[in-house]
Amino acid sequence: MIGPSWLADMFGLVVIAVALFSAARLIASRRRRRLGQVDADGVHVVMGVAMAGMFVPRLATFPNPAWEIVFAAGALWFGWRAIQVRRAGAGHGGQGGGGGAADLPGSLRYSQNCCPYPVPHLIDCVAMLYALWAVPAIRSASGPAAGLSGMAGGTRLPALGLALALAVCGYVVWLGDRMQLLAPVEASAVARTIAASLPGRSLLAPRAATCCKIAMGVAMGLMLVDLL
Amino acid sequence: MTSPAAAARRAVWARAGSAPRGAEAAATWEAPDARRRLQLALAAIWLLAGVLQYQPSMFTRAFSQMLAATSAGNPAVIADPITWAARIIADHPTATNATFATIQLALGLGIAWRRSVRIALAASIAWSLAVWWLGEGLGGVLTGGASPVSGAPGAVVLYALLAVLLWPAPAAGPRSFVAARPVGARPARVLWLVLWGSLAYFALQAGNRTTQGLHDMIAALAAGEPGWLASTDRGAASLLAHHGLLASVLLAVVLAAIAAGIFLPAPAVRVTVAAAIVVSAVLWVVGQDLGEILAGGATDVNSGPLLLLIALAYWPLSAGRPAGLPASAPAGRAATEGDDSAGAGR
Repeated sequence: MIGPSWLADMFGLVVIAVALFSAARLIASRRRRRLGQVDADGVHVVMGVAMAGMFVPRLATFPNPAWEIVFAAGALWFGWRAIQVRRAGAGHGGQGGGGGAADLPGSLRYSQNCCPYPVPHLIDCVAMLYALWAVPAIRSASGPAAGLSGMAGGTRLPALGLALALAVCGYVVWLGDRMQLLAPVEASAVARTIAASLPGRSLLAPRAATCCKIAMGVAMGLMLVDLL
Repeated sequence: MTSPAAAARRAVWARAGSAPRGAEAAATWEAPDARRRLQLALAAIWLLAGVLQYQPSMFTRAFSQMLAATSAGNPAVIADPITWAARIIADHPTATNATFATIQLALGLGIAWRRSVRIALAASIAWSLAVWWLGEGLGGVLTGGASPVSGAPGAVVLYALLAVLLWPAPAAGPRSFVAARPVGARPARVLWLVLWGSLAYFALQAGNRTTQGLHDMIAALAAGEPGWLASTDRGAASLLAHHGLLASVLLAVVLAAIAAGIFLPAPAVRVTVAAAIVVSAVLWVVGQDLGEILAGGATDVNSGPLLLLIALAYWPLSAGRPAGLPASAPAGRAATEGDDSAGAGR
């Protein structure tokens, strides 16, 4: 548990709020026929619920094996997406780089309802698996709640936890750097052409979604550091 | 000129909203250049420091006792305010620590967000200097016990130095390295000389010159660390056993060479900076145990990663490419385009 109980409660509330927002975005994007990021929003919903149980024991819902299956599936999905995005990038001249196929106009027509940057979500899923696995006592508990309650010291592979925490912090600042991009109208001709290829399908609430990703990243970093 | 790739990146991120100001900002967004990438790395380190500050042990009196201990050996004019601050924190551990942690998170996020990078960097300088005094006892530089191996002159003052070196000053012509942009090449080199020269000086302080000084310092780190890091510590400590003086002199020579090497021609500067990177990494792993984060109770990453970032800020850039522009940008933009337009104050 992170510090005083009110602090853990606060972070529990934050991750629940992110989960609720992500669930609402999933529904709203479908109803309004707007673009969403179904996979990213979906994983945020389950991450929010699972992490709430880690921060606040009484909010624990499912047993650890269930969460492990969920996040293993999530890791497989985002790993597969990362390969797809990279291949799509390579198919357009190899400019994809680490950021994925979003570097390329063609990628925008590809999997429009998925997050164009799957790697950070892959790291999120791996971090959740690590959090569930790292402290041996968690595995015997009925849910993830017991995991962060003063278990530090017996953590497995703490260096991996630190690496994941660093990666999550890097993702958060990467998102912060791109907040300025979440703007409405494209000025360049190339971007207008791209936007025209997606008639009536603008991304729903991108700034709020990015803020949620940042909040989730900070909470994830706290959780990982607390495990060390 | 906007590349299709950059435009596509924007399109992914910029398909909603209605504020014209945001549109203008997005239209002027550029991919991070060398300086911006270093700023983001600094932001990530601030963020991690904030997260570390939220650890449960920081909300106890142990934190204030740790701060109070830094007053030992300092002159009264330095020590008294440390004791005073530690007493306040001891009386209100939860509120003060939550505030500290939140400030550090805010600094990280503020540097990451381009609109607030200036104010966040300025605030980070003020915060770093305050913490350097009240939280680190000036890194022990006045006590005679400072060692570059253990993190002298104090990690937090390096945050302030980085904030200065990475300040988003507008381009005033081609610069040979990132750190030259805000303060000029010669002052930047002088700062490098002072930093690495002071590290060389600290390496030769009396406490570090004893036969077992470095051995004891490194051997003491092993407690609480994971096995591979503890065995690294034990191996390094056994190598240094009874060779404290020789090791300190060698370290000082290397650090002094790094300090002076920044004034050499560009090819030699690359070697110098590469050596600084290697030394920073070795000190961080062997002498600082990754900031002792894995042992629990660390408040920051210690000086290794910050020295590494500083070294990267001095890496010679390609001829004709200014420090503020990305590698893909035409060199001709140097004289006409700063990076301060439309909120892109990188």
